Amino acid sequence: MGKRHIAIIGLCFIALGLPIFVRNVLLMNILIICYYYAYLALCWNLVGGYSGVLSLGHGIFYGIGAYTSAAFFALLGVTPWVGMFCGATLAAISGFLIGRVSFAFELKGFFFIVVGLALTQICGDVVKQIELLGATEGMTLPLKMGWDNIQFSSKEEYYFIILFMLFIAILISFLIERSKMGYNLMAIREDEDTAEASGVDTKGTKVLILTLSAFLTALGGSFYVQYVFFVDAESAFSTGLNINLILAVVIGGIGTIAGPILGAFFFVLVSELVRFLPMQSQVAAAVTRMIFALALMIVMIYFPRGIFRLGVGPGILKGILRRVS
Amino acid sequence: MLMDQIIQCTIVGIMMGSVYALIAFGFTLIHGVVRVVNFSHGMFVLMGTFLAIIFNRTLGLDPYLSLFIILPMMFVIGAILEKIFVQPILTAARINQFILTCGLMIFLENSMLIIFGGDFKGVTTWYTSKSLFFGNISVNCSLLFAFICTILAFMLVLFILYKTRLGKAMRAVADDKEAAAMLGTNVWNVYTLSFGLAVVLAGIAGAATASYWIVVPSDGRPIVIKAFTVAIFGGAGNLLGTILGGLALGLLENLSILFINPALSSALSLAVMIGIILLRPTGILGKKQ
Repeated sequence: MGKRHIAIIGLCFIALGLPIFVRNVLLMNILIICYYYAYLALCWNLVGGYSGVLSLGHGIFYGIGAYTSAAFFALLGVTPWVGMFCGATLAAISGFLIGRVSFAFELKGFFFIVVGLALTQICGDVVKQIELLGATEGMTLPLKMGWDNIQFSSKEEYYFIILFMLFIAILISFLIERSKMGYNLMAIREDEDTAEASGVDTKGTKVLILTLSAFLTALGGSFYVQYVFFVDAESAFSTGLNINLILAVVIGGIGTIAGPILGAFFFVLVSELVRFLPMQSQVAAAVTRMIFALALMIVMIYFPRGIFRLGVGPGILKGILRRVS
Repeated sequence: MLMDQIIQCTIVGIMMGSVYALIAFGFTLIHGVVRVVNFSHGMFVLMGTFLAIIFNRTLGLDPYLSLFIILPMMFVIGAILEKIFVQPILTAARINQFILTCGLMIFLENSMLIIFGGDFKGVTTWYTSKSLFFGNISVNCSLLFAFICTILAFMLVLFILYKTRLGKAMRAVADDKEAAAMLGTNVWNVYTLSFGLAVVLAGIAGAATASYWIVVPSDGRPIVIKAFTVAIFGGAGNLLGTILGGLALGLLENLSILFINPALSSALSLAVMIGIILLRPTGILGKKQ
């Protein structure tokens, strides 16, 4: 067992034991949001990081997951445990169809992004017109506390659920990185034509990873609805969340496992800290995103592999000095 | 009565469409010459609008008069942003370029949100609510002025592209940048100047419509999606295609509200765009692959 394994096991114990020490609801909330963002960032990273297909359509999968479990629970009374997986399956099917259609038409890069953006907006506009789903007002879940309905009055249960989900996402990323599929994906990312010529089923692999990512993203959407008891089209089918994920993943290190997690933690912590500054919450959120966007551009120009690769402080300085000299 | 409505919507559609075409032309100019997909283009349109609002509130200038101040400012801003952020990644992978222009978009959007706040803003002038009437058909004066302004801007661009050395250099770089560089064109300066020119076009579109609609900083994203739509309708890098694509989008949006729920009209145009991407990725006028 190397140092690395010990560190990972230690982190696991710390994560499991944190709720014993953290009794503050505010802090628990921040931790949960950190894990939730890290989870979604890993899901996005499966597609954006490993296959190099920049997706701006993850809002569709997120929204489908959120709305399906909410609608099943609020309208039909079906427990969210079932609704979650129905939503995830539905999202996986739509991910499969989007991937199948767009990759069959050789939609590389730019066109795929535009299709994702457009579909997200179409879904949002259509959902806003459906009275049954609360139209523009959104849906509020009826309150029935308990494990059956994934509704809790304290934060600990949510903490362990999202921790478990994050663990699953890490495990999946780890397995994919070391599987034949992972190598195929990275070959596609580096040079799609060469990969194709070497006998990699490029389209099939990309569709598969998009489907998997859609499934997991939808589960994240369902979790968040259960956490806040509310969903609306404006925030569920939005490109804003997707853009936040890109910020987190790219700053942390695209195409790695630790990068998206650290990037997401960093993003959530900074946005929570900025809230303490004496200004309106809307302005505070804008300041966070502006800082991160600037950081994103600097990272893209000077350290395309993310800041956590270099050891944060000295690495950046060294990089800038090398670039300047 | 329906006939009047159709004529009314066609006129509005053509005028709005020409503004879309101007926005999309800057977008395709950057795509054609610099070879970067500029996600932040919608933000430059808004920047034009907000600058017009500032000059109107502080100096009391009419938006069309303030164009003479706004355009040089926009050109300088565009050129500086290009030098700092876009040039270093021109040789990087495509995905890095996408991420960088996405970052530029988020940066500009949130800077404007901090400076101007999240409320709807616009310019109110003596012609904002005035309309010209032809029988049952009315034409809003602001929109008419914006339309005229757009046509003038297109004439300016055509002049620059086909009658000046800079335009010649841009067309040469768009055709074959290695050959252009070998024949002594400073390709990097051409990139900067084209980016600046495209930003100016976005600024004209933004300032010219400042008195017609009210905006918030998050409107930049829908605008850049409109620019994509026009570019895809017309096929990228094709001047005639871009104009026709802009008109097609304007007409589609404005005529469809007669027949379907107005809230779904932009969804409809996006659906048509996805159809075009799938069936004719080179645009309506483009050759079939």
